[in-house]
Amino acid sequence: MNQLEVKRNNRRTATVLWLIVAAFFFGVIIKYYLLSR
Amino acid sequence: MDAAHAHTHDHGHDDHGHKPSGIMRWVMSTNHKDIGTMYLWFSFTMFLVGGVMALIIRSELFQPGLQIVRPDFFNSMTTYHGLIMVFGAIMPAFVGFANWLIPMQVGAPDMAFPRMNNLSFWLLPPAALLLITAQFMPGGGAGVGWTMYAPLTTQAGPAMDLTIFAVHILGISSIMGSINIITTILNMRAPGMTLMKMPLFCWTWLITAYLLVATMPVLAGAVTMTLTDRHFGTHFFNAAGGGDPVLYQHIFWFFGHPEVYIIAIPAFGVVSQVIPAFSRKPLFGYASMVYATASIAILSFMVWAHHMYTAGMPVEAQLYFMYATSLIAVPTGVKVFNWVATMWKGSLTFETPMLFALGFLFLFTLGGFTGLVLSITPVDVQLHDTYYVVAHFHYVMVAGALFSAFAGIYFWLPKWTGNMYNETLGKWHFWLSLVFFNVTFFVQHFLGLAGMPRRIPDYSLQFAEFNAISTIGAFGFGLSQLLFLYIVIKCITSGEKAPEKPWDGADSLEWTHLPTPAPWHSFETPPVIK
Repeated sequence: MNQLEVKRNNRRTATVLWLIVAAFFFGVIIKYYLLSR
Repeated sequence: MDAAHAHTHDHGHDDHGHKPSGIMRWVMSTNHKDIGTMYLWFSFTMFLVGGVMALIIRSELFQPGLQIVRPDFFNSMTTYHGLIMVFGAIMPAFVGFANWLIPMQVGAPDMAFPRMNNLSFWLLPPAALLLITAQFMPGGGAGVGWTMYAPLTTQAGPAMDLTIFAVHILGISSIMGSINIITTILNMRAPGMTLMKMPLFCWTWLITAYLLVATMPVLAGAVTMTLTDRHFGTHFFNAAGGGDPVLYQHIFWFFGHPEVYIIAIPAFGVVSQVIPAFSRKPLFGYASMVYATASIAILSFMVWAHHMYTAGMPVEAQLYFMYATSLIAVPTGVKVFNWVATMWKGSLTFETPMLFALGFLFLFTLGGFTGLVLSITPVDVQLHDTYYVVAHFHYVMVAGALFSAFAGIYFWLPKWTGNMYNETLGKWHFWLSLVFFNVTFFVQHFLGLAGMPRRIPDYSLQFAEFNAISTIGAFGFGLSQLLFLYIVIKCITSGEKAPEKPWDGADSLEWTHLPTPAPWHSFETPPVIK
């Protein structure tokens, strides 16, 4: 695997992980905001 | 670093003299070893800051009555002692280990995202400054406890905003660190280094990093909701506006219980490296250790409300959380069994790292047992918010995480510095820490069983003797850590030169494939793993 492929794989992995982080962060706030309305 | 285009040459000549010097070496560093070093020093500094706060707490509690500090300052000390020790001392310590060791143990040239690594470290000092300077805000620090329960937090003074901002920054730092660790382990292992060949330390950090990715945003969400309740007219936790303060507790502990394992699991990883090395045997039950660690991590998401038995919940929920919590003892028991079985018929020696690992094994198991006691709902209803709980979690956090960190530091100091520490002084450090730790915290079990509540600056006369003993122990423990600082500085500046492989049984890549001290750049050529 060349360096570009390694970089691309790393970015893909990190993107998925950032999406999980965003889902948990906004999910918990939006869920309870909607429930409180 | 370019692993794929690297040329083959002797690793002993990896250091090409490109190492920058001066302060910019540290400020602009993208080198995993330098960043690991900075994490470890930052963590030790915060350990001293949090330790001073602990000693202020213990000084006030030396005798009944109010002698030294005002009650609101006392509350502030308990709050920031907890926050600083958890987020500023223990977590960064293990991220420091991860930075130093994971690339070397998986055969990678560096972390996957070296610049993000720099940022995740340099977010920590401003966050720490926010926590410390919160004391000087109008009204003093926020005396809300490290758990930051509503509605106290929605009513606290401006120091609360600094604290919330600090928690946000610390959370972002942890998330970036975790993403880096997961990506490094999943994508940058040397050819042949399959997941099930990795040292257990890497496995424990992989699992911990997933825990962090899933729980840190939840904590960030909880404190963001607190912030909007304080300033933007929402009523998430405000009963008067239709909100629910107990909701905060549920969200916090959904983060808070996995957080216990975020601290404990890397400690398991360090101990799983140290015990086999000094038993001169491979780790017993490697695969079962991996599965047990993963089981603990999964279970940690399902037990949060055992922190809230007294907050009010249906009896069915209490039963569920009680049984689920007790279940964690099974994989934890597997791990303790495997550590003991690793030592069984081993060729044991008891250098300082092994002593701290054994101290961990005995005392963490004791802390685990008191955890099992507290998991039983009717017992917990009696002991909730007493010193029994304080004793329990200090056995887990101090004798568990901190002793394991000491074991790791003594174990890898020769690899990091190229010098040996003073073995005699190291043993003194261990025995002083062990004795004073127990003098401080063992008696707190009795205080809790007798009903002494936590987070109070004054108490009834019948608790006086055990409190005096505990305070003496705390000062002894604190002073013992100055000996540790001396040992480390002496090792770095004038320690005896370390042999290439000072520990016979150490078998991970950093010992078998790299010189001592580890070169500034390692594994430009991926090692061959058979």
